[in-house]
Amino acid sequence: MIKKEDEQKVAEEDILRTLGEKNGDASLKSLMEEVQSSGSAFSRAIENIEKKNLIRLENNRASLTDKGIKKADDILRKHLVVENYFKESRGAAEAHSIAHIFEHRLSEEAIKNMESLYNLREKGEPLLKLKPYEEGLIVNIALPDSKLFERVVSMGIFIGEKVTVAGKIPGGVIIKIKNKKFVVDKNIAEYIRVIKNG
Amino acid sequence: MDKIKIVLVGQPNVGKSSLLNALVGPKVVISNYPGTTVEVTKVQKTFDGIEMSFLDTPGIYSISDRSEEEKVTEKILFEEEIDGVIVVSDATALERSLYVLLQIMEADIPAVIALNFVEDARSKGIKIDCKRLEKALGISVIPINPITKKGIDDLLNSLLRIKDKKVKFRVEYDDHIEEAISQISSKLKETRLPKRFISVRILEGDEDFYKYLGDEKILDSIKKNLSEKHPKIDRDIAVTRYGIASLLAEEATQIVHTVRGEDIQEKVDRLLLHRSWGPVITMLILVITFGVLLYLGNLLQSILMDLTSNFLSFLHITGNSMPDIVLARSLTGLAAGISIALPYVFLFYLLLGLLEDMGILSRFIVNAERFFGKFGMPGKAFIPLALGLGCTVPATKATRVLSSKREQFYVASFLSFVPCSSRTAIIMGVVGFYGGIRLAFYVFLTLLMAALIWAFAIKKLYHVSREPLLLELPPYRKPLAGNILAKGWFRMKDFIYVVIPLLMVGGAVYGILDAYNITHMVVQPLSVITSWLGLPDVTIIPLTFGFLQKDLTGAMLVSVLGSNISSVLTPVQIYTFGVASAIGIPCINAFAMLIREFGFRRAVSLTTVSIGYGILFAGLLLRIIFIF
Repeated sequence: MIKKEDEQKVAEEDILRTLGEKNGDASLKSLMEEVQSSGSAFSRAIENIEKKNLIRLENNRASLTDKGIKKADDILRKHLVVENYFKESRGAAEAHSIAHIFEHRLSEEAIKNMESLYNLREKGEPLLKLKPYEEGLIVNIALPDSKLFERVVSMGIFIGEKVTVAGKIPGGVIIKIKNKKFVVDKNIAEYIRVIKNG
Repeated sequence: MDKIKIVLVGQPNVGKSSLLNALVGPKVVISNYPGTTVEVTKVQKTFDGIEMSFLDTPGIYSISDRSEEEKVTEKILFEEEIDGVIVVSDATALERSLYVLLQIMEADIPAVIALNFVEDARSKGIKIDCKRLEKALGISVIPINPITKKGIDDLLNSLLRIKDKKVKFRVEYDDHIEEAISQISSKLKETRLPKRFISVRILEGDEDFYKYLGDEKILDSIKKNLSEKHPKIDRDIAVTRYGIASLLAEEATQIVHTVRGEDIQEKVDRLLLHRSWGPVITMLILVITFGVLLYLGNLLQSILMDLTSNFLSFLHITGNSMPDIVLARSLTGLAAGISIALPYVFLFYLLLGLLEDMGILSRFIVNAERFFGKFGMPGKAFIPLALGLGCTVPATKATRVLSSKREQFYVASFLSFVPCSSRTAIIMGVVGFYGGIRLAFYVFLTLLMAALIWAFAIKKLYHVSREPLLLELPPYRKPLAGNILAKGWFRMKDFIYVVIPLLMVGGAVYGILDAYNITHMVVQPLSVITSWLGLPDVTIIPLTFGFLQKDLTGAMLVSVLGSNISSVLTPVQIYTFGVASAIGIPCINAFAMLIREFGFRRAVSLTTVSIGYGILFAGLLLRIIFIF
C-alpha cells in the first residue's frame, strides 16, 4: 500500500539500494526490472538522483558516486531495520504472517526476535537530534522508568511509528505521530531512539 | 427499581464529558467525589425503568498508579462495585483506546466501546469496521456523536444488558510471563477480582496489589527466575498489550484514502506553536483577557458597593449598634465576594473552559513552557499564576492542574507574589494615590524581584522533582456551550460555598473587633515588625487586618493615620507599606483554601514563611535604599 506521492521517492530509494547491493554499478534495464516501478516514475527517479549527484549515467549504465554510496548504505540500513521490525515484531504491513505472535503465546523464536529488536537501539539516535520537520522511525524507547514507559507507549508513541518533529521548546520537543501531536520532555525524548528518514 | 453503575473511561479530550451530557441531558447533577483532589463527576438517569448512575473519570491513557488521575480511576474501577465500563474511544487513534480497554477486560469487567469522532476519522480517510471489532473482542462497539445524539439510545440499550455480559477476550503473554502469572496466582488470597488480573498488576509493579500476596518474597524469587528472559517484565507486558491493541485496531481500520497537504489545523499550529509568534499571541490574548476582566471587576465592584451602601441607608442602618455593624460588614463582604466571583472566577473559568475545549489552552501551556522552563517551573503553572491576578483563592485551587502535590505546593508558593485584584487595589489606591504612579510601578517591580529571588532560593532549599513534561496537543475543535457552562460552574462552586461566606464572616468579625477597640491591642506586641519596616506603630493595624480582608487595608490606613497620608508618611514609607502588604498569602480566604488543598500544617508554614519573607524583604530593601 504505497501512497502515490511517495511512489517516486520509493523508486529513488529502491534504485539506490539495488545499486548498493550490486556493488554500485548496474545497467538501467536490470535496475528497472528489479525496482518494479512504472516506466515514467523510474525515469523521473533516475533523472532526479542524477541531478542530486548521487549517480553517474554512462552507456545506459548507472553507477553510484561517493555521495551515492553513502546514501545507499543509509537506505540499506534503514531498510533492514524496517524489514526486521515490521516482519518480526508488530507486523503492520505483513500482519498475517506476524499475527501468531500475539494471537497465541509468544514462541522462543519470537522472544529472540524481540531481543534482536532491542539490539537495534544502538543504531538509532536520540529523538532530540531530529531537526524541525524532519521525519524518523522510532526503533527503541529505552526509558528506565517502566511506568513512564507504559504511559509513553499507551499514548501511541511506540516502536515502529513514524515520528515528525513539529517544533522545539527549551525543555523538550513537539512531535507528531499519526496526526496526533505531543509535547515530550527532553528527559523522555533522549531515550526515544529514531532512525532518520530520507 | 434495578440499579446499574457505569464508569466512563477514556483519554483526555476524547469526549467523555460531552458524552455524559448527551447521555443524561441538560439536568446534570455534578458532585465532587469524596477524598480525591481530582475531579470526578457522578450523574444519574432513569432509562427503561432502570436507575443508571454514571461516573466520569479523569482522562487517562493507561491504568497505572503513576499520576493522581490514574490512581483515582484505578480505585473506582477495581475497588468499587461497578456493573460495567464505557470506554470512550477515538476513531482516529483506535489503538490507544484499546490499550485501556484491554486493561479493563483483564479484570473481567464488562465493557462497551463508544466510538467517538467517527466523522472526523472519515474525513481523514479512516473507516472503522465496528462489526469486525465487535467479533474480535466479543463486546458491543457503538459509533456515537454526542452533538447530534447519534448512537446514544443504542448505547443506553446495550448498557441494560451489560451485567450479564461475560468477558471473552483476554490478552495472552509469552510462555515465561504466563508461567509467572500462574505461579503468583497460586499464592494469592481469595478476592472478588480475578487472580490472573491481580498477578499481572503485581508483575507490572503496581504496589496497591501487593497486599493480595501472602508473602512478598515469592515475588522476588519469581522475578529472579524471569530475569534472564525478561529483565524488564513490566515493560514486556506493556509492549505485548500495546501490540495486541494495535493489531486489533489495524484489523478493524481501513484507510480509504490519505489526505494530502497541510490542513487548517496544521496552519494554525504553525502560528500558535511558532518560536516567537506563539508566545506573542499567547501574551496578547492573556493581556486582553485580564484587561477586560479587571475592567468588568472594577465596574461591578463600584456598582455593588453603591448598591450596598444605598441598601443600608434605605434600612436606616447607621452602624452604631452591634447588629447593624455585623449586618453592614457582612453585606460589604458579600458585595466584595460577588464582585470577585463574577468576573475573575466565573468569567475567567468560562474563558478557560472555552480555550481548553477548543484545544488552544494546551498550545498556551507549550508557549508558557518556553518561558517558565527557564525558572524550572512547569508550563502548566501559568494557569494558576494567571488566575492569581484575579483572586488567589481560585488560583490556589487551580494548582490542581499540576501533576504532583509537591509541584502544586511549589507553584502555590509563588501566588504570594502575584498581586490579586485586591492587592492591585492597595498598590494603586494607597501607593499610587498618595505616592504617585511611579512609586506604585516600583512596588510591582519589587514583587517581580522578590519572586525571582524566591525562585532561586526555593530551588536550593525545596527539591521539586519535576514530572517530565508529556502532554498531548489535542486537535482544535468547535466548543460545546453546555460543556463549558457545566465545567465553569463545577470549578466556581467552591468559591461560592466557601469563600463568600468567609468574606462575610471576616467582615463581621472585623467590625466587632473594631467596635470594641480590640484592634489596638495588637499594636504594642507587634511593634517589632513596624520598627523593622520603619513605619509608625499603628500601621500594623491595616497590615494585620489586611489579612482578614484585603479590601479593608486602604480604608484602615486612613482611619489610623488620618486622610492626609502623604504628610504623615514619607514616600519611602508608603512604598515599604505597599511592598509589605502585597507580598505573602493575601487573606484568610486564601489561607483557608491552602488548608483545603495542602492540609493545616503546610498551609500554616507556607503562610508564615511567605508573610515573613515579605516583611524581611521589605525591611532589607529599606536598608539598601538608605545606603544609597
